[in-house]
Amino acid sequence: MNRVAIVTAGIALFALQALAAADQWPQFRGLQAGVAADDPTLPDTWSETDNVAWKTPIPGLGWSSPVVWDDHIFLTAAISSGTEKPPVPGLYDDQGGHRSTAEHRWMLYDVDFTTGKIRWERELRRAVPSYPKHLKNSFASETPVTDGELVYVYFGSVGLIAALDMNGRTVWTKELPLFGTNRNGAEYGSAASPVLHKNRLYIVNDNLTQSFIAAFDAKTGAEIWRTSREEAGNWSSPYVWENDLRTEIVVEGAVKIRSYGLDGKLLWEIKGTPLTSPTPFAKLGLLFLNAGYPANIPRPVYAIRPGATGDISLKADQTTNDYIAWYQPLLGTYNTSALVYGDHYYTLLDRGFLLCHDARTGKEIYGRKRLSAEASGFTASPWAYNGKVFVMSEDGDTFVVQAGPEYKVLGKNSLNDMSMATPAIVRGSLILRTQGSLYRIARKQG
Amino acid sequence: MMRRLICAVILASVSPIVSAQNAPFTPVGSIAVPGDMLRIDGGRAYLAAGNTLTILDISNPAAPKRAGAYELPDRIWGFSVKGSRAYMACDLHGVEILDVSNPAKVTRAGYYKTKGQAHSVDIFGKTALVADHMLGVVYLDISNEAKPVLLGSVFVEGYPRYVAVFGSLLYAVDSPAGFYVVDPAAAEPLDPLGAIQTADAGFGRVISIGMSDQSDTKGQKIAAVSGGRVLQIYDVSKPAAPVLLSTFATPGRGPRMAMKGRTAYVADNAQGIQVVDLSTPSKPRIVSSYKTAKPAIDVAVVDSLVYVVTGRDELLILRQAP
Repeated sequence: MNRVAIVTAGIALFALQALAAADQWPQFRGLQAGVAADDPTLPDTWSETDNVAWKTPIPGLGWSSPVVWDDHIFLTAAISSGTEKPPVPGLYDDQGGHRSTAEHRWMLYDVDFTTGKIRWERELRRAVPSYPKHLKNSFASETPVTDGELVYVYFGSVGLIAALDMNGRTVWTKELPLFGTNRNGAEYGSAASPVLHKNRLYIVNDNLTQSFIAAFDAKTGAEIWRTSREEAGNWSSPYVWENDLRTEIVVEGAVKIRSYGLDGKLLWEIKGTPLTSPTPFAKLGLLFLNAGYPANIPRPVYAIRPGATGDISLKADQTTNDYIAWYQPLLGTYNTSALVYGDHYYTLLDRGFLLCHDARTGKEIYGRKRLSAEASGFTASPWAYNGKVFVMSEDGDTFVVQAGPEYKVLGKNSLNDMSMATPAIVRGSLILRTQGSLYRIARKQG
Repeated sequence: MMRRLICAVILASVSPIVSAQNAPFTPVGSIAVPGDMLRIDGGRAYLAAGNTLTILDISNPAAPKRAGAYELPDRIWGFSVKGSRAYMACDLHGVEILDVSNPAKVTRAGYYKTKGQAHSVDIFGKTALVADHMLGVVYLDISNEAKPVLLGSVFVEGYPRYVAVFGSLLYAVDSPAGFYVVDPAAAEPLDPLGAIQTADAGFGRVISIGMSDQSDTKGQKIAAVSGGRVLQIYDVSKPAAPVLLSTFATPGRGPRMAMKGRTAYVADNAQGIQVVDLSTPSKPRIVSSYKTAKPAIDVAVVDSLVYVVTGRDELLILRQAP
C-alpha cells in the first residue's frame, strides 16, 4: 500500500513538474529548442491587430528574446541618448562596424504577461559603448535566463552580468573584461546568451584577447572556474547537454567546436568553421551542431552521439565516425539555429529557404524551398507546435509551414516591423518581439 | 655574341616604346579622375568610385574630358553601361537605372530595391541580372524600366559578387568558391545550368570575368575569373559542366581584368598591367607588361586602346602596338 502511495505521489510530482516546465519559457528557445507542446489554443494566424492580446512598445533596441516565468516576461534593450542608424533587414557583409558616440542605457524590463504593462524596468549600466557593432546587431542581443527566483542578464557589450530577483532588486553583479571580437577591423558586437544549469550560470566570452568560458555560482556570482578558449569572436550561445552518459557544456567555435565537463575540462572537440552564431541543441539522443557563413566552405552540420572524447573531427574521406552520426558539409546556417520537430531536422537558411532532413540519418527529405522571393533575411530561429513550423523573416513576416515530409506553406502573418528575436511560447501565447514592440499573440476567445 | 646582338636589334625593332617597359604600349593620354571601376561604352569612359559615377568623353583619347558626374545614395559595387543607360549596383540601396544620354545631366530612369546588397549587374535584353547577397542572381524585368519587376532568382551557395553576360549566357561568381553558368532567358524554377566550386578559389569582393571571343578550332570556349587567390581559367564550352583548366598567379594578384580574344589584361596593382596569353589555357603565360606609375586598379580594352585606372585617381590611356 505504501509502495502504491509512493509511486502515485511520484507520478503526480513528475506530472506537476512537467506541467510547470511546459508553463515556463526560461531561456533562449525554451527547454525544447524551439518546440512547444501541442496546444489547440496556440495561434496559427495573426496580424498587427488580429489575435493580439496586447502590444507594448519597448524603448530602445534589443534583439534578445523574451523569456517567461509565471506572469513575468523579461527582455533587455539598450537605449541610446542620440540618433543611431537603424538596423536594415537583409543579408549583407557589413564592412566597418558602427560606432556610437552617444550614451546608452542598458535596460532590463519585466512585462506583465496578462496585461502587457511594464511591471518594472531597471537601468543596469549607463555608458558610451566601447566597441562598434554590426549595423543589424544591437547592444542587447543576449537573451536573459531565469529559474523563477532570479533573472540573469548578460550584456557582452559592456561586460556585465547581473542577477535580479523577480521584484527587480539586484542581487549580484559581475564585471567581465571587455575586448574586441573581430580580426578584420570590423566589430560586430556580442550575442552569446548565458545558460543556467543547476545553480550555475555559464558564460562564453570569445574575443581577440582572452577568450574563455566561465561558471558562476548562480546565487552569489562567485566565479567557480574559468577555462581559456583558443578562439577569437563567436556569437553562439553555450548549450548544456544532459545525455544518458553525462552532462556537458557544448560551445561552437570558429577554431573548434568543444564540449566541456561541468568542471570546465575539455571532453571532446571538432574542427570549427568561421563565424558561428547558431546554438547547439539535443533531440532524439543526438546533439546537433550547425554553423556556416555563406562566404565559407564548409558550412557543416553534425549530429553527435554521446560519450565522445578527444578530437572527433572527420578525416578527409569520412562522413561519419564513432561519434558523428551524420554530417552535411553545406547545410550550416549563418544565424538561425536549426529545429528538430518530430523526426525531421529543419534548416532555415538566412536567405529564406527551408530544407528538411531526416534527423536520425541526415538523409534529405526535401531540398531548398524558397519561402518567398519578397522576404528579407531570416535571423530568428524557427519554432514549432501543432504540426506546424513557423519561420519569421526580418520583415516581421511569419511563414507557417506544414511540418513533415511535404513542403507546403500554409500562410503568412505580418507584423510590419523588423524582427530578429526568436519568440517565447507559453500557455497558449506567442510572445513575439519586433524592433519596436512586444506582442502577446493569442487566439481570441469565443 | 653576334646572335645576342641580332636578337637585341630585333627586339628593339618590335618594342619601340618606353624602354623601361617590356610591352608595346604607348601612353596616349590621361586625366585625373576618381576611379575604382571602369567601363567603356560609346566613346565614353564611366568610372565609379565610392558613391560617385564620373563620365568622361574619350572620343579623343589624347585629351579625355570630364563630361559629367552623378552621386548615388550608396556605395557602387558594380555597374554596366548599355547605350544611354547605366545600371548601378549600389549596395543595400539596390539597383539604379540611370539615363546617361546627356552626361552633363544624368537622371534616374528606374530603381529597384534589392533585398540584400546589390554587388553587380548586367543586362540581357529586357532583363537585368543582379548579384544580390540575399537572393542570389536576381532576374528583373525592366521592360518598364521605371518599375522593374522581380521575375525570380537563382540561388548560389556563397555570397554572389559578380555577374557578366556574354552572348546568350550569364556567368556569375560567388564568394568564396563558386563559378556559375546561368541561362538569362530562363523562367522559374531558376537554377544554374552549370556550376563548379573550387574550394581554394578564395574569391573576394572584387571580381572580374573575361570571356574568349569565340571558340577555338577545338570548340573550346574559355572564361577567366580574377579576384581570387589566383586567376582561374575555366572551359565553358559545355555550360552544364564548366571545368577548371588552370590557375595562374600574376605577380601583383590583381583582382580585375579584361579579355580580348584569348589575351587577359590584368590590372595587377603595383605591378601595372600584366598581359597573359591564354591561347593554351592549361598553360597561361605572361607575354608582356606595362609598369604604371601608380597601382593599376581596373582595366578595359577596346581595339588597340587599353584604359587603366591607376591609383584610384587617374585614367591612363595606352595604345598597344599590333
